[in-house]
Amino acid sequence: MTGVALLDRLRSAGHRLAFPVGGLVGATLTGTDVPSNMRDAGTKFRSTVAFVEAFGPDVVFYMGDVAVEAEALGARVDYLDGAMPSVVEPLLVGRDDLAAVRAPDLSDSRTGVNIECVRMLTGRFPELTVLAQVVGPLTLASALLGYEEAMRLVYKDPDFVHEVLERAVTDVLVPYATSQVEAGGSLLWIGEPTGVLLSPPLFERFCLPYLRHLIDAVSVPALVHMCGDSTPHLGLLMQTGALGLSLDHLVDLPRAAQRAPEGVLLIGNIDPVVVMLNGTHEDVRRACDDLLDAMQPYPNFILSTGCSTPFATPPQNVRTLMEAAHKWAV
Amino acid sequence: MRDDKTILEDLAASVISMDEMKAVAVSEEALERGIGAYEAITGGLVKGMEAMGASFEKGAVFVPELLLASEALYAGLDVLRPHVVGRAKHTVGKAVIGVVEGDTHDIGKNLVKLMLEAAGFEIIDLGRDVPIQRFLEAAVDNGADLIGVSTLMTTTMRGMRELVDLLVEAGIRDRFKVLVGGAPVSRSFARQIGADGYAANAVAAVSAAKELVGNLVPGQ
Repeated sequence: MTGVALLDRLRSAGHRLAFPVGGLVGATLTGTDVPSNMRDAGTKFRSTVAFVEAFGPDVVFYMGDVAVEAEALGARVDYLDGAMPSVVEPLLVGRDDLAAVRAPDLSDSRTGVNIECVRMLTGRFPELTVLAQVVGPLTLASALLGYEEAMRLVYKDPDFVHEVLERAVTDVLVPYATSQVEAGGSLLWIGEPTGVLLSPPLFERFCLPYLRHLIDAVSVPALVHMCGDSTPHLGLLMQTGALGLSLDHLVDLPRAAQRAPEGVLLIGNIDPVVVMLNGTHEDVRRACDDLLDAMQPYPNFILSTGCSTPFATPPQNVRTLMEAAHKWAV
Repeated sequence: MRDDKTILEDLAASVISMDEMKAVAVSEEALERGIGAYEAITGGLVKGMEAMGASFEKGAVFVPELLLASEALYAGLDVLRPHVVGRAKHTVGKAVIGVVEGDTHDIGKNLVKLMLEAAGFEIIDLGRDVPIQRFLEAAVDNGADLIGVSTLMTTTMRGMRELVDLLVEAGIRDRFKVLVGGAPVSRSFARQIGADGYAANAVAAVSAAKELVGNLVPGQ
């Protein structure tokens, strides 16, 4: 199913669609650890299959992470305490470092694991939308420069930041997204968590143009995810050219829907920690029903979590979210 | 000749406008004018940082602006600190802070550090991916009043509970106030694990920390 076909299904299903953000819970279903899933396509594939078969989400979301592209460029990545991989040391300290960076061989790194995983998932679930996934340009640039240093450099050396952003999009993100699309991914998920740290004027300079460049360059529609309270950034997010926006629990989603241009999908935004991880299934049902009720006037809505569904989320809670949506007639 | 009040206001303004060079120049001017270094810091530079903190909490400025303002603050402090006499030993409190073991997200913790320092705390920064035992050791070794623990991930929140339990086990729970924060952390989680306080952001951390150490006798 293509991204556009997802829209058709949205209109014809007669009920709301849903999917939780992220595939980490799949690892608990298969009893595998995060590093094994991150490093091996087969393990990740099996965890994702288990997730899809257990919960019936409306898109297929393999376990992604924010370090995979930086790692492909040569950044040092660590799995602290068996947790998610993270970039532990900046790759780029100065312009010389940037000059030394080469477009990576995507098959030769964990990017290859994910491309292969997309291929296997598309083969296994031909009737479902399989997500291609990339980190956003600003988040990749920040991983390469050092997350905090990037926040200083936007003032102290903006030209350098722009160079890194440009290379991030051209050398890595477009090719990596395209490879996943060629493997069968029919919708592009762009995770841009660091965007929320910038003021709207800086977001407009250092994030928006690069998101647009990436989205324009890839042949399938995009969904942009930004964590945290992105309320100040909503107007700009709606200019990215993305088909949909995945927003976190701090955003007032019905209000966002009022300002969204026609055709823009809003996705979200159940609290992943207080409700999904720590709530009872009744808490989950109540939160979902409240949101589904508030979003009733808006056809372009997919129920989801506000951000990645934590590893230890009780499967019953995921099931409850899916049921709440699929039982909600529109 | 500019009067003292104008110079102090200009010190604050240099921080608010994130102007390192101005912070240095006006700090030097303050010294030349005979304005006490301590007063120039607290009545000038720190006032600017407090204003930035208030703006940050309101959503008028964001992380880059707070970081750049702190650079101006520290540039001014570099000029003024060596000239502080008498009150050099005075601190509001001493805090050990760090990001919990297994997590490397430290922007939030670094913002807390600079806001607490601006507010007069002495900070022992343990960095990131800090073993729980290390928080305890550093607190004991440094005679800290407060232990601040941060995390951005749900999988590492348990480290915060472990710290409180470790302090209880060691029979020293009452010696330190434990303050927790980070995106997945909440006031109810803090309560659940027996922490003393919770702060939603770096600015809230200052008032929380002040309140918590205010209940301690200095040097306890």
